[in-house]
Amino acid sequence: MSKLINVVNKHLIVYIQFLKLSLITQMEYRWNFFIGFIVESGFIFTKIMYLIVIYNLDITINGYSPDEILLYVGTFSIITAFYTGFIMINFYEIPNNIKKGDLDLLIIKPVSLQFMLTLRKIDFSMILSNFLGGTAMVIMAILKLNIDLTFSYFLGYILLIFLGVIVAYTLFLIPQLLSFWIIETKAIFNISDKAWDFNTMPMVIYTKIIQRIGIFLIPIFTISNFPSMFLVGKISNTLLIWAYIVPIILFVLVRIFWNYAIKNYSSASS
Amino acid sequence: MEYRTNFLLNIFGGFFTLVIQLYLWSSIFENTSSKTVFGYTYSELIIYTVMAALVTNLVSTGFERDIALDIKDGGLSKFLIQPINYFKFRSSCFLGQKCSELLVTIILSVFLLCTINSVMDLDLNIINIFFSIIPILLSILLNFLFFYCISSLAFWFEEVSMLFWGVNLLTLIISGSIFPLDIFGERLNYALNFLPFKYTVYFPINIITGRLSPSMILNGVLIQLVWIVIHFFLLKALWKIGMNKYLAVGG
Repeated sequence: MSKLINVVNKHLIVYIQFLKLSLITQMEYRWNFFIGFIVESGFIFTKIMYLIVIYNLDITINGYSPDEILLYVGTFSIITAFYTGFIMINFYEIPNNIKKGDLDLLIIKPVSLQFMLTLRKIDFSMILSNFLGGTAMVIMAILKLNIDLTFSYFLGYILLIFLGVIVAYTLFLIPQLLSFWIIETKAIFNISDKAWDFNTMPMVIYTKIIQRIGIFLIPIFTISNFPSMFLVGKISNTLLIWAYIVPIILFVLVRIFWNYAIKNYSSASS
Repeated sequence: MEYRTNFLLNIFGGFFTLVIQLYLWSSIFENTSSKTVFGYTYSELIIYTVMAALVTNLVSTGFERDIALDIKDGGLSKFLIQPINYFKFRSSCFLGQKCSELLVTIILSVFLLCTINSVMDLDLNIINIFFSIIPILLSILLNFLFFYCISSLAFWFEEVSMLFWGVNLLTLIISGSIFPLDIFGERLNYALNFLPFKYTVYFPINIITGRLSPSMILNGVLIQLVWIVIHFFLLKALWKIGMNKYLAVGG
């Protein structure tokens, strides 16, 4: 047990250094940071266009009122903030690291290779715009819906967001690992990038079969649907339990797949 | 070939967005008692969504980056002594690329519309589709000229790639590529009449949906032509000023 704590501690210390380093590098080019922030805000606006449609029609979609959809979109933005800023930004570079053999340098470091490869960089401009936009939407929705937000509910909401981020990390890492076999992975990246948008709207807009597939088979809907469902009291106990199980299953799967993939790595020069 | 895979990838990526929007509209129509939404019938909205995705891809440019690179790295210099000017070079590249994309777009739209038509009845009129051909071609030209103007910004700014992203995103929103512009309400939609963007996607597609009368189509085409002429002269002016600056830097 104490060994485990040691390992976690070590990674935490390294991660704090990563945070510092990323912040320092990005503040070096402040203008770029600012433009990145603006562009990312533009992307949020394309998501808000969906809300404009819903609000202008003032329509309840399969039991979801516009305010509840606002709560959903806000939550999704917050999760997007964590996914893009902390995780996806690293996924961009996995193929390059493998292709050029830069993995050699990372492999010899005394921390987990998966940790080094997938969590090294942090992009604050992406985090900031999505997080601020999302939080504003969530607060607005909570006020409009008159949700009595107790501390335990708040904690549950945060926890479900955290679980969603883990699902996002593991689910979207799996296709990236294919770059251990395929050299040109731009297509994989593009497609998984677009697949992220499936959560732009709550899953209730899809048919029942697609919802089932998206929850249980390819659990993409589990990323962002549960937190807002929990807040408005629309989540069933089965789904709530599932929300805790999915990240564990996926994490184990990713670890197995990772260990299998890493055996396939041959350095660039050899 | 590089561009072609890119084009197909974009279409494939756009396919996801298309699915989301189709489901959104379907669920909206399931939950409303009225026959129209924002003035569109269900069939019109489906046609709009499918065609907007395809036409947006068709009119999109993407050469801004290449031009910016040429301006920054001095690739432009070789065109000064060659017997073909830069604008002619870029426009023939662009047109060549668009010819093959046009073919793919036609095949894809026939395929998609027929598939959807077999599931649900679409109100498609062959004459409307025929009428939309020239406006779509003009849209390609208009968008080309607009982004050629934008690319000249590279004469003045060091780092333009993010700026291009921003402009691209903005045009997507206000040209009606994502949703029909009617969602913004009447006033804003009216205001957009005075900008060129509406005439690149929103206008030609609404010919296909059959929402425009022949006189409105003619009117729209005239406005397209006016914008094309304006952009052409703007482009000449911008590049003339830009080239002077470029020569000053290079020499």
